[in-house]
Amino acid sequence: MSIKTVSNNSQAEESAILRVVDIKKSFGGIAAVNNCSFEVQQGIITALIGPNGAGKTTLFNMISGLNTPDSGAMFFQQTKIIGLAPYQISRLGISRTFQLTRLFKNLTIKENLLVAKETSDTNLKKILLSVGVRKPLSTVCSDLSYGQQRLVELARALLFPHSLLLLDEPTAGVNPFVRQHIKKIIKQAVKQGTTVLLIEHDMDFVMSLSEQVIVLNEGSVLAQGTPAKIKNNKHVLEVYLGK
Amino acid sequence: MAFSAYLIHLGILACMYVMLSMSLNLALGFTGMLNLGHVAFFGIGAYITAILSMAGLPLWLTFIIAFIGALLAGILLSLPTSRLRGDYLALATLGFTFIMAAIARNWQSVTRGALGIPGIPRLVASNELYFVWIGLSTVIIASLLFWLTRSRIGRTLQAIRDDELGAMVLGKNVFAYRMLALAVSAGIAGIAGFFFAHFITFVDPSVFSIDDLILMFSMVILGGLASLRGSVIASFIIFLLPEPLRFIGFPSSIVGPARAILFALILILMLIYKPRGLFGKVDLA
Repeated sequence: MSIKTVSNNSQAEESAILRVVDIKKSFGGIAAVNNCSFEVQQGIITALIGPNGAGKTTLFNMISGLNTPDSGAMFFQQTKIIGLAPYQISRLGISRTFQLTRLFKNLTIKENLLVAKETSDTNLKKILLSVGVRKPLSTVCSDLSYGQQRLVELARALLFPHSLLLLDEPTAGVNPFVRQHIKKIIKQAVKQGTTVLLIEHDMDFVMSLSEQVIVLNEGSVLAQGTPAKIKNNKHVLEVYLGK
Repeated sequence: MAFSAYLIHLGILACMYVMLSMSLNLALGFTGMLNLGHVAFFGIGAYITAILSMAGLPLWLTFIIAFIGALLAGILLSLPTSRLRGDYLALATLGFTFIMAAIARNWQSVTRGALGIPGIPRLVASNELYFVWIGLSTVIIASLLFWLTRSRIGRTLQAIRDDELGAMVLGKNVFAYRMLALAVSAGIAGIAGFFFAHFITFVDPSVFSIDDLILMFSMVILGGLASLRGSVIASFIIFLLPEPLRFIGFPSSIVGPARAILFALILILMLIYKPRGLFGKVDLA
């Protein structure tokens, strides 16, 4: 397994919806992300994995504009996104969820969804059902269970107009049934044209869902490839899977 | 007859506090901004009204300038405080109130300092008519705020209050929305200042009083965060509740502190037993 680095291959660049080039980010002298480069190809599910502290969420935050890299470049659909405010980046077509759900807890499910996109009640009910939540739209989000909150957050992210969906540990803290349901939802979204970049610690989930896997270690890309190749990568097994 | 005049007097001041508490609730309850500068916007509106009225400007123009002046002050305050949240925002906005009070006290050529500005012309001759004016204005402002808070903008403000990052990644310009909330809130406080100046016919630096700020906060907390209906009802309750003390026959040296004790008691009991207030949808924390 060779470590794939971002090349000048123009064909690859054209099919990449997101390009991350030599990104560095330090917090108080500690490098969270270090010379990190990779590409996310359009229309597929790419997983970003790595041990805790590898820089996965920091990368997500930089893609979303919540953190600014110290150096490097990021391109979303050929548009340079570093320096843009988070709301400008999301309006380009990047939607995301968070490791810990960030619902508007005092608002109802309906209000949460409407903040993402103004649409009819019929459409809201449809999207809510599609993620498997059978609660009335008038339910206040703080009254939902944790698993349901994750699903509503996912519905909200799906409703927001996007072409790239960033999912930060979408199955964290949910039961196996919900986990399987989330897998179906993600597959369905990709069928409908969404590109997914997800962070996940559940290796079975990652390997069965993703078409590309990027392995981060200490802020840099350790390996990138198909799940089958990653599973057999000596460096990955040593550093990440502990085998 | 005298009693009805007294009631109308109370009604006028209560309407003014309804405007102040509803507008404070827009920034505090709906947007989550702990703004201790609200009384400064009220004072700015009152001073602009006093100065321009004394200069002979027509009433309608004074009204517009008092509104826009306070609104611009809100925008001005939102710029340096845009990155501040919680206690830090509270301290910065309280500082703004102190600065405005200091300006009113020391810019003597314009504000006459501690002497204040007396003889501000009355809006209308009779208090009954004034009550109609301020009552109508309060209804219009309340209607606009009800509409605003139920609109897409109001929903976004509440989303920002609950989770700024969550709102940002849904394409919401948090800075602009917070500025909008503070500006509208300040503008309405400026209108309340306009009515105050024309009713009392005197303005001095005490319009920036922290006591009034506490009163406004008490009304919002009692009524409930993010509840305009609560603000309206609580304004009347808090404003009218101490009035019976006048009829018990206590001297004014006791009535004043007794009012303050009563407000403090209401606040403490509410915070302990009903932290969301009468109609609130959001926890105070």
